[in-house]
Amino acid sequence: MPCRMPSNTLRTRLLGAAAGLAVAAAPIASSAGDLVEGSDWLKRWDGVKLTLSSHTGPTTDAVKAVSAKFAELTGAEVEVIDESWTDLLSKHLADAAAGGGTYDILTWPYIWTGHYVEGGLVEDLNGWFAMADLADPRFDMEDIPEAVLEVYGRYRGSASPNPDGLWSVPYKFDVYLAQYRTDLYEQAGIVDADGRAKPPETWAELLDNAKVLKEKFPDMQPVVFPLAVDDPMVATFLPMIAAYGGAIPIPWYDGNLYPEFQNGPGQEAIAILQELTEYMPADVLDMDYDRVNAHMAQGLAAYALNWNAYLPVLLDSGSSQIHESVAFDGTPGGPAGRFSGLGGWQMGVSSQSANKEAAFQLLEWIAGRERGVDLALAGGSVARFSVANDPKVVEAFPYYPLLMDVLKGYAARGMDRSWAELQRTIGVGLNKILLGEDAMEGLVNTARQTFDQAERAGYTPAKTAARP
Amino acid sequence: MTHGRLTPLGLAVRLAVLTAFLLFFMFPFYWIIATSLKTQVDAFAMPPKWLFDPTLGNYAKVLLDTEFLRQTVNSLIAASANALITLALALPAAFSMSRYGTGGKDLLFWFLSIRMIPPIVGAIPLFVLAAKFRLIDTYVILPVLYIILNMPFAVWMLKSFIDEIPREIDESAMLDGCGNLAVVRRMIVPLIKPGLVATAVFCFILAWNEFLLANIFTRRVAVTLPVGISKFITEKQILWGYITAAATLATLPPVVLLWLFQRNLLRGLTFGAMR
Amino acid sequence: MVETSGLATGAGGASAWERIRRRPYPFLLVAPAFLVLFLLTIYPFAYMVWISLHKWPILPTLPRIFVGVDTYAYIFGDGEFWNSVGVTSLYMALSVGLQLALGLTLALLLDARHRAFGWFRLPFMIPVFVSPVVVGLIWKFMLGYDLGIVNHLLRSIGFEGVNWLGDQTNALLSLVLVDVWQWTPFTFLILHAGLMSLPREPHEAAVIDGATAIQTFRYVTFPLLAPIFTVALLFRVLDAFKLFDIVYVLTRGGPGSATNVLAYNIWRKGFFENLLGYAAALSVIMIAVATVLALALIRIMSRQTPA
Repeated sequence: MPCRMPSNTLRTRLLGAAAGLAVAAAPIASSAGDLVEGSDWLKRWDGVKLTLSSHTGPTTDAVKAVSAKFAELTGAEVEVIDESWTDLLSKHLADAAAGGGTYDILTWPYIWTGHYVEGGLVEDLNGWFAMADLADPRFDMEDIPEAVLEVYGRYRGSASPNPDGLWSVPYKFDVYLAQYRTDLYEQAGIVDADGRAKPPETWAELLDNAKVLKEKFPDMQPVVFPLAVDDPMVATFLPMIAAYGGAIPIPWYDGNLYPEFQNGPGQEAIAILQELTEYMPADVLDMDYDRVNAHMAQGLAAYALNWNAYLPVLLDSGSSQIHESVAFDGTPGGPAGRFSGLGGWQMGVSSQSANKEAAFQLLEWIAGRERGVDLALAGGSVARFSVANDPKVVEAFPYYPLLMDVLKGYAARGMDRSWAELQRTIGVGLNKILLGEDAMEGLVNTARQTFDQAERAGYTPAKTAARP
Repeated sequence: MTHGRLTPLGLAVRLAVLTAFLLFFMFPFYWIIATSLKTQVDAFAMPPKWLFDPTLGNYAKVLLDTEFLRQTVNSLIAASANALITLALALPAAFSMSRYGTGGKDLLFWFLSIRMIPPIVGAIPLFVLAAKFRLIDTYVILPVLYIILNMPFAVWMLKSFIDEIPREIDESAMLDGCGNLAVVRRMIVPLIKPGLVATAVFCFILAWNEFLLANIFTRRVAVTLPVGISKFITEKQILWGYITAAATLATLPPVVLLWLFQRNLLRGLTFGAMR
Repeated sequence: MVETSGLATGAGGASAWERIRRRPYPFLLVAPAFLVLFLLTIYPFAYMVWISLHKWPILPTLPRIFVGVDTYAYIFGDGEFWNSVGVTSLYMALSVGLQLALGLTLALLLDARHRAFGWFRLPFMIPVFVSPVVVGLIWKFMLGYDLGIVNHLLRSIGFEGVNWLGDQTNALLSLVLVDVWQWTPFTFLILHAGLMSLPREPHEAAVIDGATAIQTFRYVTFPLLAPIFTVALLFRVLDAFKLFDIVYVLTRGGPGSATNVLAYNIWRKGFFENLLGYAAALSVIMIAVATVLALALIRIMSRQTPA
């Protein structure tokens, strides 16, 4: 599966979206006061109770508001349960194992997809979208970037019951973005021809900037990345290894992924990360996304990487000291190009739901094109061209167009059932190298362990490459 | 080792040492209470703000806009139900072991050995079983699970209280024709009332504070306070204002109970070894 | 006043069944507590051993594969497991050692009666009765490198800020610090109460015989204090062995795997990575170790308990 879209497709999509926006502007204005307009595809679901399970956060808060409207229009009762995301998978699995049917709509991060699809927890939505009496005619699947749909919706590979199945649609779009302080960059003279702050395009450039910034502002952290063991470490490293040519296929276990760590790309990426950490806070290996964000918000760092979900905090004068000086950019790149780290959540219809038809309509209602802008403005993160280019959205969240950087190329994490274990292994392995362990040895060990663990989980990494 | 009289200087030195330690042990509490009264921006201000305009905003938010009150009720239910069940089971057992030496030392130490089991270890098979019987996230599961944590304490603690009651008292009751349960009800319970209450309070506090099992076995309906507090770590940011406010509130009940029952609670912690 | 619990002996000699038949009542009184606890522990334990012999996805739709002791073999060859064992042992030794040493020192220092000492009792007990999650969160907030109050205080009195959680050694020491903070008041209180309850005569006799302070402590005071010391040791060792909540909140096992203690490792494997078979096997091993530890400590305690 290719990670990059041909750029002409990209241009066509963006132009198309802009054109669509102009055409759509009039109906949006007129329908603002009357949301029932255009919702004639919705059926009445009086007496039906729907439960959506998700994680705590602004996206879920926004979804709650949109779901309330659905309840109003259809007569269904909708409950959105949000809880801490860490144990959500085991809770969904336990419920399924008990034949629960507690949930009608499940949401999960794509790194868990293997469990949901291989375990048969969710419906293949292809058939559902083909049902004329249930489908929203204006859902507009084309408006969702194909690359995003590939990660959030499909599950390919030999273990999949249907490699072309559509198991879910995007729920929360999460892209790794750079944020930097324009004031500091300008004072340090890191500027473009117009004298405006110039964010780095490559990791090497970032390192050069860091040296300049350190000299100019000795009390300031030039760079801060989320490097805590596990999730943050891996999410940060993948766009780096991709930038140095480590092709990252989806799904991981069928491609040449684990063995890549000890080769050139892995070595180059870890080498530059090692150098960069010298310009980061001393306790950067304890820093998760939240702490990185707090660091930026308190004005302690000049440049950081983080998920877009955290960025509203930086723009809010009530929680940020840098809301006037912060600007955003894509992740830096390397010889092989610039790659965006991709995270995020998706939603599907539970195969144990007693009201699948109503659940499917709710899913369409939340993810459909016409609710996109409202969701985004309410704090949700929407993966749609129409939203990324909406002037109101861009004004409130200036980084939105950058989210479409994923179309240039992205580095996604694994999706198979062994991923949580592999991610831990990779995170620990890389953490240890940054703590001083021999890089080559660490990379080889990490590659070997992940190979073994994938194999123990029942996958066949050997199909593409021998054990490192 | 003299535990005799102290010179004024000796007393002053010792009080100074104690006070220093007291500061060390109390400072974190001061700091979370102070933080709970600050706004989010002030909370992370560096240098820290020692003087600030206190606001009750965090408390208002926590009490009104979150599940805090519901979780408080859940915690109350789980902790009280557990304390009652545990006492009901432990009291007859403690009486029997105190008066008849039932099971001897082996049984007594078997109860103690249950306390050695790391809860996470029990969690795995119990989770699979609870999922099978559809008990996850019900009001039943936590009180039952907490029996494992509290029964060893309760049995030992109650036994140590019953041991203190002269046997003549219940023997005379027996001669009057009372059965064992009647003796427990009429003679033992009134005499060890303070001990009984302390044991119940002890079980209550332990259950109130428990996190690991509650985190695994609840999801929405039966979520307790410690789990609720940890949930203020959202994907967007760690809400320190809410966390500190909720933590302060959640810590109040144990501290009040501790203040009321301090002497007997220490006894529970040492399995009745300290009287 | 301190004394270890006394225990009346049962009727010796006859077989257990014989005794139950002859006088069933005492056994009936113990039976409910025993059975409930038995069902909640022994049955799940057996079930867990069974799980540990499989690859066991929670979902019934995925195959459960019997692998025998393969998982155990894998665990014993897994560097991460041995790291966990090492981290847990080191943590136990350091935190329990420090708590007992500090508690004992304080208790000896304050070995005197005075009304004022009573005032400290309540505040000293508070940390013990605070939820570990709250404790973990408090310290997470205070131990930040740049934004934490602890480093600010250190800097304001002229020290360097300490990298509490971002360094392998320090992260483990931070866990120790938190545990010492929470439990030293407890060890102090019970050791102090223990000292107060000791008879004065042996001590006075030793002083008259010309023993030094250290000799008096070593040969007179400590042996008398031993039972209560053992109780403190027993609890703290086993609690430290079970450490989970604080790691879960404070370090999540990191950086690297520097604080990946056994209980946290099991939680991760079982409830995050969904390797129930693996986690079950780890649990069986952990129970085995806990049993050995407990038996050793209980034997000491039991010897000090008059029959």
